[in-house]
Amino acid sequence: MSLEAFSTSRALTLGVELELQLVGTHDFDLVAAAPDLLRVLEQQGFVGDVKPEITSSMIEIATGICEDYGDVLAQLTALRNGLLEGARRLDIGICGGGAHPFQLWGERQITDGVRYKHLSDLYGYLAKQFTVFGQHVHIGCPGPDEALRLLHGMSRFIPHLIALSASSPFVQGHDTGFDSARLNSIFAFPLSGRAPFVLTWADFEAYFEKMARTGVVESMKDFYWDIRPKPEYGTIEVRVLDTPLTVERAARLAALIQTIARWLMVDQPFTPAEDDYLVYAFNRFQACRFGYEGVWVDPESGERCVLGDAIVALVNRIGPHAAVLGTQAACAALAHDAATRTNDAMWLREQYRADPLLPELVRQQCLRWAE
Amino acid sequence: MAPDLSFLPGWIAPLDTSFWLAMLLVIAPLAGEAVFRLLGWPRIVGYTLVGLFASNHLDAGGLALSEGFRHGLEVAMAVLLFELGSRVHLHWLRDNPWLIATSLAEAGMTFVMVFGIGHYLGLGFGSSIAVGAVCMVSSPAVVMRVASELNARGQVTERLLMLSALNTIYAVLAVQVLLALLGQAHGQSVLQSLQAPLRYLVSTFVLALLLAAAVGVARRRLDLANENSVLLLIGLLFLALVLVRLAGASPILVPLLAGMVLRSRDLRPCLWPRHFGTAGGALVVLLFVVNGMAADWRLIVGGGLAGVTVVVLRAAAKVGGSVLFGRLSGLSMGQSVALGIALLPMSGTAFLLTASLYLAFPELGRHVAAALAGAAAVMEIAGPIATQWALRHCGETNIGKEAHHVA
Repeated sequence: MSLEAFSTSRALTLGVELELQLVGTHDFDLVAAAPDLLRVLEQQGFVGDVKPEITSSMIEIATGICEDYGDVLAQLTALRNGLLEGARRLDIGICGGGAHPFQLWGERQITDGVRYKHLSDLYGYLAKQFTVFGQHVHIGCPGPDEALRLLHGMSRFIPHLIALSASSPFVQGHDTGFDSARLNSIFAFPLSGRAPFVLTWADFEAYFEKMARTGVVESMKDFYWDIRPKPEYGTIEVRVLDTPLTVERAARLAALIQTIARWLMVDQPFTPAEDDYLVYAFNRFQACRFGYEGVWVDPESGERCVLGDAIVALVNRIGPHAAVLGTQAACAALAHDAATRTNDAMWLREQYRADPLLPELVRQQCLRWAE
Repeated sequence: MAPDLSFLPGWIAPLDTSFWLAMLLVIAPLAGEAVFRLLGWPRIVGYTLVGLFASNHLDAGGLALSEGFRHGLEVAMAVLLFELGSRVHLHWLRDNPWLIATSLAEAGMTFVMVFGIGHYLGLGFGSSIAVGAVCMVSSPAVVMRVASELNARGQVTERLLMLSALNTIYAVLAVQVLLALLGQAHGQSVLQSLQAPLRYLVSTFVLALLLAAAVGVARRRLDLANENSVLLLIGLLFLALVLVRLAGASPILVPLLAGMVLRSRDLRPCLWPRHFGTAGGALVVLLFVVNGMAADWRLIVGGGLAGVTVVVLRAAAKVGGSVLFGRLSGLSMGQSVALGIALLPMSGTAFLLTASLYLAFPELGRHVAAALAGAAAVMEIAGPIATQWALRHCGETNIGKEAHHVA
């Protein structure tokens, strides 16, 4: 299978996918309810994109192509409300969060389907460990070269996005000390990490052909990169975000990414370079582990600063573009969170400190999601 | 496996009941494990079979009747009922009214069908009503035990627990209504005839609320996953049962309703070790052994046709009732059928229910017990197997995990 042609899409349109947790309301552990929920949604005439995921206690919702922040928020809210209606009929809980705090991976069931069966055979227990929940944001690109340029420009802000979205401090019943432990599950996959540094679609096609010839990959789906081009939609897809605890935060994060993208496309404030990736893994780890308090090394100047401060500086810098896109309020709210060092991971830790019972924590997550 | 111990030397005979108790506690888990490994059946089938053999081959009757022992078993029953109640989420009925329809359909159809056969077989009006009421029950003890043994989770499991709790409540209420009717038939005034059932229900509700409040306080202050706190729960249940006896309330409804009240009033997850830990677990094993003792081989073989008819029609009603509103309540066809099959167990509770009839109207009670004995005996063995099959069939158990335990 060769690489498909890059579709055109309108620049800076956006789309959001959210992977969500399905939990029982008795013990608040994950429950394999995706087939039930999909059936009930169909019965109630639910309109919207909702799909099963690799294990049957996950479900994915996706907006259509959105123009702006308001559009994203409205679509996500409608999807959430429809989902909650179905979930109430089944007495199951739905919540955000990048990882379930105490589920045991060994108890997960792989969803029926050829592709999932293949992944499970190939990756073994990693497939079940992949029961983690992310937010993916698509940004429309006018052409494939622009997409690659945007991708490599965006990559230095991956740590910012990780710290802002982090919502997976608890894994398998314990506080991991990470703000986003979810990404550790993704690193385990051989084709995760960063995209190769190529800036033209012709070079990217050449790379893909070489990889395909080795038999290592068959399609773009086999790459688990942090940001990957999605030729089918004509977008780049940012995949590092943990699913936030509320749709509002999910919409804000999408707005921030859209604003950064406009700044990169319009102002072209720097030229992406292979050397940007020298500090990539370090920065990314710092963000996962320490959140806002992590160290961020500027790939150009080599200057070190605290990530929380870097986020505030970034939002200030892209302000004019936020004004054009109508994302000021969303970006300002995130900058405020960064300045006051609050994110969903901290909210989860605070709740747990107040009542150290993990099932109760998940119940609070469900309530928060339904707010 | 068969505890036919007649080959043992004569000096064993005068051993006291504690010897038989010890033997049961040794043999029952072995039988449970054997049944599980060799046949893949739920372990409680093994416990029940041990009881069945024991009652036919041993003079263990004295054991079953000794008072302390009986109280222990009531605690085991109460543990299972309380566990079941605390799984029932009443808000769900509001969010999905088709569940109420399903519940009324499966219980109502069962009642009507079984009442019909009773009447047809000339059982008499009162007895037919009683048999119909008792057959509505999907043994909450068996259902809870099998679901927790399999670690079952999912739509069919949750609905099974909900419907089992509801049909147990219906049956207890129906028996009380019957008692009132019979009272009138025996020449009491309406007020007189209502007095006993009302007192029974009021004291039941009051005790259930008290028990729920006590457990509610305990769970606020203590970590219920802790072994010591769990002993407190067993103590509270025991105390509640003593009060139930004094007040003449329902030993079935008090723990069941208490669990339900607790779950509905406070949504913070309420998790304790299964059957309240090892002590509760041992009592539960004995409960099923004694359930088996109450049944009789001869009834299964000889008590025959009536029993088989009851079993078959009851199964048809339960499956039919589940399927009728299955789709509307959000189940697939396969799940609806599985739910009906999972609802089949009947046993322990059936006898407990007839007890109150028996006390008030000994003659009637005897009739009912005889009519039910065959059906109950068959379902003691077949019921848990049916429930397990149904839950496995719709993928709500973790088969890989069980295999791991065997390995």
